[in-house]
Amino acid sequence: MPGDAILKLRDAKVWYPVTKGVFRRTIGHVKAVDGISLDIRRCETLGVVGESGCGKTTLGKAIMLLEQITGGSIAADMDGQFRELSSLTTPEKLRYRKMVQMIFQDPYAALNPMKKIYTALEEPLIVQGIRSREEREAILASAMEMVNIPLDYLFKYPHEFSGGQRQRICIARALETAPSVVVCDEAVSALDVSIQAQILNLLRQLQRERHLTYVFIAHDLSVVQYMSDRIAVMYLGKVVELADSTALYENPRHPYTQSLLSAVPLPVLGRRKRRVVLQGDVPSPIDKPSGCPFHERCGKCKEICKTVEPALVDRGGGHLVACHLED
Amino acid sequence: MSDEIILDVKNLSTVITTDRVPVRIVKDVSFQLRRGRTLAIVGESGCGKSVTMQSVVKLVSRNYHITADHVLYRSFRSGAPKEYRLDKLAPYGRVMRSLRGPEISMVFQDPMMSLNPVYKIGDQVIEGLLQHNPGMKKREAWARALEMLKKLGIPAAEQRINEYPHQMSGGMKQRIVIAIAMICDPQIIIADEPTTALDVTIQSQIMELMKQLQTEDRKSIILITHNMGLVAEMADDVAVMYMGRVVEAGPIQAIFENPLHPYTQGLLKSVPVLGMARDKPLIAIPGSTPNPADLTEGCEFAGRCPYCEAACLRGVIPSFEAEPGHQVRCLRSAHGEVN
Ligand SMILES: Nc1ncnc2c1ncn2[C@@H]1O[C@H](COP(=O)(O)OP(=O)(O)OP(=O)(O)O)[C@@H](O)[C@H]1O
Ligand SMILES: Nc1ncnc2c1ncn2[C@@H]1O[C@H](COP(=O)(O)OP(=O)(O)OP(=O)(O)O)[C@@H](O)[C@H]1O
Ligand SMILES: [Mg+2]
Ligand SMILES: [Mg+2]
Repeated sequence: MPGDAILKLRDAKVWYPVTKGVFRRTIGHVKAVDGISLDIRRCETLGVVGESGCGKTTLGKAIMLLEQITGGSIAADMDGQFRELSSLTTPEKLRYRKMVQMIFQDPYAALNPMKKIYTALEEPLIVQGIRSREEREAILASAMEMVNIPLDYLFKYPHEFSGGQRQRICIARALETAPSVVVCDEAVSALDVSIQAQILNLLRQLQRERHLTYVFIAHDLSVVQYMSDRIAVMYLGKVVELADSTALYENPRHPYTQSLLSAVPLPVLGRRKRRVVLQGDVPSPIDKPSGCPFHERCGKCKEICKTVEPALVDRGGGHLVACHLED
Repeated sequence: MSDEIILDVKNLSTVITTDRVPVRIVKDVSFQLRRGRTLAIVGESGCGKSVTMQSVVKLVSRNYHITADHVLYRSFRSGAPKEYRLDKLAPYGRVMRSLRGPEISMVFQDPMMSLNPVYKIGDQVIEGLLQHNPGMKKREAWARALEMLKKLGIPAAEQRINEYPHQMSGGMKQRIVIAIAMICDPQIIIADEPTTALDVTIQSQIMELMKQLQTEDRKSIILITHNMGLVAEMADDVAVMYMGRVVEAGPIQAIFENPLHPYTQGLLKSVPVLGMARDKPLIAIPGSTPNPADLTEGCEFAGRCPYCEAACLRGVIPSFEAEPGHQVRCLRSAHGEVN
């Protein structure tokens, strides 16, 4: 059951510089993650959804220490004490890195094309300090079995796998080291629905057995709703709605969330849903609009939305919404 | 008129040899693509969907051995239709290269497999355009590329076109690959999982764009996807693959409303829907995929099939026509005992 916080994000920001010319002069910033505050609770699944490019992967990378935060803080519970990630010593960082793992969105880019899968899967175990070869091979074998890939495939190269097989290899690699927090970035999107169901059931079972915490990033809302305890909806680097999974799906309150839910294609014939079609272009994270980041595309935009940015506020029962229409 | 066949594939097989062991990955696959229509290919992860399409456009390495009765492409580009036997053409010969891009274009599954990390996005998008339009100025090509990126909903396209793949989000990379495939205005677009990294709003925007091209220009689309919602919205025909074979094929209504192959039935039962009960495990087809190297004869699905009989384990299961245009590779359809 979800409990206390294991990670605390406070106004966390990741900005990438935008450069121009041969001297790489900085002319602005891509505000990929732009002030996110939330707690990730022990043993929960926190779903993260939102438009392509809104900063989901960057958020995951910041948690993984793969991307430096440019502002705010991320703190982790390490042996009962919250420690800010930026202040960890090198051995502590190593310990933290054992605690968190990420299943990357682009499995092909995440695997070294020159190395056999065996090496890709063995490396994290060596880093973990598992010295005995037999022990490593036993872990490898059970990880491969877990994701349902024949053992002799260990000696193939990444390009010799199908898209979904590569994705399963990445899942095996992230889970074999027994982490406590796993960032799943589009971890099942390349799988057919049956294997996807098997993997999701497995992720749930492992969560119960090993008390794992998941940050579950995906575009398939039906899957996110099924997997998550809570869901954070992101738009242009910010969280615009955060609520219990069922509440969010039954009663979406931010206009962006509403349009997102209405766009889900249904697996039935001849019943094309009425979509809340978004007007206007996707704004750029480089020149963000003033006021509410969504106002240019919002069907219910008011005068105040153009100038004042709404704060993410609890509107009762832990349902957080950043929208002036709620005031 | 709209039923002209633009691509006709008959008994295509592909054997891939690794470490001197040949494995049959694609087995006697046949399908037809109609002009102005969308054919969806669905099936288990690893069943050979991508390899089938790579074999059709011949973007394969030397350890692939491809055979076919025929792979026929009928070009309607200029005046009278012109036929090409793709199976007879050299993979990297002049004719095949002139067809890939302006006539048949493929969007690959993993964007990073087709993007070069050291070149700017813009240069990668215009490459095909310059190659197939000798005399076109780089400036003009660049403008066309920019327009395409904007159509695909990439924000701040003027800035993005000068950036490198690592600066893009997953969904942006995917749209760049789509732009590369669409820039030469091909007759057939083969899109292999084109929208896995896209949110539903952009996904529907891109699908609308493809549909629009289809109605205006009678383009044909082959859509490989696991997303049944997308299949329901886009496809006219569906082919279901399992372990290298097309096990069921037909018009979308037939496949969705009257699925006959036990694999198709299981697959459709596993489709996630919004609002599923969170306390129950998801439905999946029991058992696991066999290793293709272990399969010798009989139905590939036999080991997982609830209706398996002795006859299913022998020989090659033929394909039966259950109703006009609806083919099923299952002995139950031969008996006529279909539920
Ligand atoms: N290394 C980088 N350098 C510069 N900009 C970057 C870099 N990585 C990401 N960005 C930019 O940051 C923004 C957020 O990217 P991110 O990958 O986090 O998006 P995302 O929400 O994961 O999107 P998707 O759903 O498409 O994967 C995008 O505008 C992207 O172009
Ligand atoms: N270059 C290769 N060398 C050896 N085997 C390969 C190669 N490419 C693919 N395979 C094997 O061929 C089979 C089919 O792969 P393919 O990529 O066509 O699957 P797919 O149906 O596209 O699956 P997915 O939905 O996961 O993308 C897989 O078992 C894969 O391991
Ligand atoms: Mg991403
Ligand atoms: Mg594939």
